[in-house]
This record gives sequence, structure tokens and C-alpha cells, in this order.
Amino acid sequence: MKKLKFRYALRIEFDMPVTQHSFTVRCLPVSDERQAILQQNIHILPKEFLSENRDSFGNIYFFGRTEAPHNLFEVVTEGIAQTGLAKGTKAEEEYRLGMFLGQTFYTKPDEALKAFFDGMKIPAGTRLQKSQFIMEAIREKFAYVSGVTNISTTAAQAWKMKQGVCQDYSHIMLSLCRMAGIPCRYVAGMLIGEGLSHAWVEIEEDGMWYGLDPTNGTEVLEDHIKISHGRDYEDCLINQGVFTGLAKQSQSISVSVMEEVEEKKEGKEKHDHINSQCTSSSR
Amino acid sequence: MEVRERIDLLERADIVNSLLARYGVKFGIYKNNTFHEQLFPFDPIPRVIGKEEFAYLEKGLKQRVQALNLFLKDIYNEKKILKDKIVPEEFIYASSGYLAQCEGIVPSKGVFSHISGIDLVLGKDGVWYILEDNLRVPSGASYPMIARELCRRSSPKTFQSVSVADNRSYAELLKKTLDYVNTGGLTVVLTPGRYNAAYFEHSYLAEKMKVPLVSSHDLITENDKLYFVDYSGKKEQVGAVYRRISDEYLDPMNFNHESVIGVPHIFDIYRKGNVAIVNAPGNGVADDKGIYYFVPKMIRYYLGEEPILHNAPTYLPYYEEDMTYVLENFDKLVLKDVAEAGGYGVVFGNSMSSKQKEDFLVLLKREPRRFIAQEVIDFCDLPIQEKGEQFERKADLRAFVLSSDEPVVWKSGLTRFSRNPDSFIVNSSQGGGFKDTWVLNQ
Repeated sequence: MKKLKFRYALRIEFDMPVTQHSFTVRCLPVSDERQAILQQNIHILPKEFLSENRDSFGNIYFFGRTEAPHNLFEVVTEGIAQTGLAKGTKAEEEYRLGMFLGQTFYTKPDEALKAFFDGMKIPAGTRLQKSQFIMEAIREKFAYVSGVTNISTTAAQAWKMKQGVCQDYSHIMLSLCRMAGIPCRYVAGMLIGEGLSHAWVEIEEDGMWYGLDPTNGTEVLEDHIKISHGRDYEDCLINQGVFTGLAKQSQSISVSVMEEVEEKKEGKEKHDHINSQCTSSSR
Repeated sequence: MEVRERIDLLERADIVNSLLARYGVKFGIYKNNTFHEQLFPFDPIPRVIGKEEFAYLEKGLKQRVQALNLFLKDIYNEKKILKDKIVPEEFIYASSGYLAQCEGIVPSKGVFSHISGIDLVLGKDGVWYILEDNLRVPSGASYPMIARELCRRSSPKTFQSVSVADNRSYAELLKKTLDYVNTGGLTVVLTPGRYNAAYFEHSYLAEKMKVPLVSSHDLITENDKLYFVDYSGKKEQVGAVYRRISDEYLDPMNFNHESVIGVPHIFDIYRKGNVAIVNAPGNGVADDKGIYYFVPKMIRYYLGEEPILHNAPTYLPYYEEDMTYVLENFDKLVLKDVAEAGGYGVVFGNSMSSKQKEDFLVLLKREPRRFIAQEVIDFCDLPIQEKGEQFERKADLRAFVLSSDEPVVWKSGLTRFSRNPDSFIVNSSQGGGFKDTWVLNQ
């Protein structure tokens, strides 16, 4: 079990004012059996006409719209999550899992990915064991390189290059697991220490969803904070918007997840105390 | 009908056609990336359906639409029909009309398919067969409406002597259907604009219902509600949207992000239950070619009744038994790719060369789920009039079923015919024409 202090900040600056801006953000972690969100707050700018709801997957999202001209769009969410409370989370009944078996725009395999699947000798075992085998097989061939793929790269395209980031690792893994008939889903979230948002997958086995992180080749236990899940990246878009204006936009995202260390050393105590005061005053 | 009065109507066909042109009864098509408007040729000889025959159709259509509505509610919520394995789940999730975004949503009053356009043909064996269900944005009701109006005006005598059910009540029926699910506020017709194929219909229905015809930029969302902003800037809440925009383009924040004809967040307001979207998003899962096969099973499953109207005999190669039949009777069947629409992906077994057949069979065996096979139905010809002479042409019928507290079948319908003597294709985009459909009162 770990106590993780997280902060997700997104800033989009427009070089000239935009109007009629509609946006949806999906960046608030939800408590489940594996993680408990102990405290959090969210700040969104512009803030007029802001609504909150849950989507069909149960993810929390905020949506809003503003007419007024503005140069800045900002989302900051921060809080404390307790992770590693359980290994998995409860899954829906088997007959409801079909949507996580079908390939999507992002996961649809091409001939090369199908051939790779056909060449893999997946040993008999549970869904989780098979998925772990698939994860290792991907990692042998695929390298983490940022900048070669983008948000619209599909599993097949990334596989062709054998390079990519967490989103690509996850889509390839989903594609292969679905070919193997294993219900699996895409997860967007945050990882301890990382500077960007993260993605991994969840595998269904015996009525439970278990997380596997193909980018790091690990199980998802206490270092991950989950934000949302869906069939692929598209269902978990952290931010999307439409606006009127010819502005160029520059976007910056910063994510930090730090383990909250219990007060142990005397010298540090005061510092921590100040920190927690800050947190409570901004709540 | 007296011969004299019949001739009266037929002689005035040109007047009716020129009036239809004048009123802008056209449809737009895109050819080579340019927009053309075409007239929709009207044939004055009506299709006549007797009172008893219509009562039979009415009963069967209501039953079918009731089952389809229950199916949609079930698929997006409880999924009992999947649990009980009446429909294999692959057919649901592989359907392009299935929208995961609609999971868990029950629309206002539980109605999904408010306006259903059911296509039927009358076989030469005297049996009516259902060809397909249209539960998304079925169009066509405006054409027989305005044609009737113009025929009555140009040939009043005809209607004095024949007791035909008045079809001009469609607007009233439609308004009632929309008001039934309205969550509070205005009812509006949402059109993608004048370059849409059915723009005439959008404007005509809005006018006849006396409700605003709006485009996406007239609608805004604020505080979980949808508003119509009129030309003067006045804002009024909207409770029901008769949208003539497909699901894909309805809302760029929830479906196709590139859509510029949609209303951002309209689907989020709908999810909150603060507006009715007519027809409900996600209905495409029920009018899919693959799902068509299961409609008779749905009727038995949800209503515990035997289907009154028949499907064209259909086989699913997905089932081994059906595959065997398809392979043995290949030359007399028509095969359809469930993923394709608009006449694409349809092949007749007997029109393939042996090489084509060989390739097709490989594909069929590899992806049996992708295809359905149907017996070719020899359907009835109807007389049409061209340059003073009469010819026989293939025709179908689109019946309209409107569902509010209970389903109602409009006592008319759109009869489309092929102008090409050798063709079975009646689509207006392929140059087909239309007829009025008369339902007799006695």
C-alpha cells in the first residue's frame, strides 16, 4: 500500500483570443477496490457553465463551454491516492465483456501484426498468464522511443516502426490479447515519478480486472493511479475541445506523482507540515 | 374507382410534377464531389392497399417495432438477450451501429426508435416480406404528403369518389411523438443544412409541425441544458430535437471529432436526461443487416408472440447448418456483406464467374460472420405511366411507424419504383421515382 500525492496540470495557450470554446476533460481518478482517492480538487479555466458526469464506462468527466474570448485554457487536478489496496477490481459479467473483445480503430491489426500473433507460441494457461506472455513478446521486439508516434498512431502503424510510447505499447497489447480472445481494456493514468500521463492495459480473469503495464513490463500494483478506462485511447481522452478562432495553440502538460512519506525525520517534519497546510487551504 | 375520375388524376400528372418542382421537392446527391439537385419523379398511379390488408400490415409492423424498441433498451442496459444467448454477442459489438457511448442510457420515456421506416415488398406469391428496418434517420414521409396535397388540389374529384385515408395527418402524428418524449421546452428539427439530400423534407416537416428548423449553430449548451438561440438572440430551452443528422456527426465532443455540423455536448445533455434526441443515438445496432436475421427471434423472445410479418428467408453462414445450405444453394441466393450499406457488398450467386465464386467462398469460409445470404424474392410489379403509356416496374414500400405511448402506423407510406425495367433497385439516388400510397377506408 502506498500513499501517492499527485498533480496533473494542463495548459493550452492561444496566441490570439478564441471564442465559442467547448471542452471535455477526463482527468479525475475514481476510487475503486485497488485505489482510494483520499482527497482531490480540480480547477478548470474558463469555469462558466461547467458540468460533471460519468460516462458509460464509469469515468468521471467535466464538460463546459464559454462564449467569451480567452487566451488560456487550464486544468489542474491534485490530490492524494492510496494505492495497492487490492490486486484487481471487480469485472462485469462475462456476457457484458464483448465490447472489450472487438478490435477498434486503434487496435485493428494489419497482416504484419496478425503474422506476429500467429508466430507467437502462447502457452496454455490463464488469461493473465497468456497476457503476460504476450507482454514479454512485445517488449522483446518493441522499443520505447518518444517522438516517432503521435496520438493518432494505430497499433499496426507503431508495430511497423517497432518504436513508440506507452499509448502504442498498450494498443499493440490490446490488439494481440483480443486476437487471443482475452477481454482487455485501455487505461489512462499516472505513474509514480513520471513527467507525463501514462497508459497501460487491464485484463479480465475470473470476474476481476488486473492491470499490466507493457511499457515497463510490470503488474499494476501500487505505483499507478488510474484515471479512466475504455476500449482504446479514444475512450480515455484526457482533454478535447472545439473552438472558433484562427489561433495557434501551445500545450504543456506536467504530471507529478510522489510517494507521501510519513513524518519520520525531525528535520523534515516542519516542511511536511507546511505542505499539508497548503493542501488543506486549497481544498 | 370510376374510370373518368381515374383518368382525371392521370391526366394531371404533369401539373403535379411541375408543382413538385416549383415547391422544391428535390433531393441532393454528390457526384464527382459536386452537389446536384434532382427532381424526384412522381408517378400518378397510386399504390392502393385495401383496408383489411393494411390492418394486417399494421398489426405486424407494430409488433416488429415494439420488439425492436425492447431490443435496443435491452442491448444498451440489461443485455438479457445476450445472457440468454438468443443473439451472439459478436453480432452486436462488431456492428458499426453499436455505440458504446450509449451504454447505460435509457432515453426519455424509454423510447429508442420514435420514427421507424420499415421497407417491405409484396412477393409474387402474395406474401409481404420485410426487406429492412430503418431506425436511425428514416426519410421519405414528406414526399407522399406533399404529393397527396397537390393531387387533391389538381384533381379534387378523384378524392370525392374514393374513400382514401387522409395522409396529411403525418405532421400532427410526428409532433405528438416528439411532444411525448419532450423533457421540457421547445421541439425543434435539426438539419445539417440545405446541402443535405433530404433538406426539402426537413423544412417541410418543420413547417407543417410549426416548430423551428434549426442548424447546429442555433443550439448551445449551458448549465446542463440545451437552448435554441433565435435570430434576435432570444434564448429558449429545448426539450426535444428531431435531428436529421446521423449519429456520427451529431456531436463532435462524443462522436466524430471532425464534425462541424454537430452540436458540441448535445449528447452529454441527453445523457443527463435533459433533452430527447429523436431517434435515439445508437439505434444502428438494431437495423444492421446481420441483426435483421434475429428480428423474428426478438419478437418471440420479448413479446412471446409469433411474428406476423415475415423476413425474406435469410441464412447466417455463422451457423453451420446455414453454411451447408448456402454452399448447396449458392446459385439461387443473394449474399450481403453486413458491414456495407447502400447497395454495396451485395452479390448474386448466379452472376459470379467461377473464379469470383471460388474467391468468394474462401472469404465466406474465413469470415462467415461477415455475410448473410437471402433467397432472391421475386416481387410484384406495379404499373407506372410514362409518356401516355403504362409499364410494369418493380416497387417497394416504406411504411412509417411512430412510437409514443404506443406505436401507430401512418396510413400511407412511400412507394418507390425502379424506372429501369431490368432493375430491382428503387433507390431515389439511382434515379427511381415515387408514388403515393393509398390506404382505403373501406
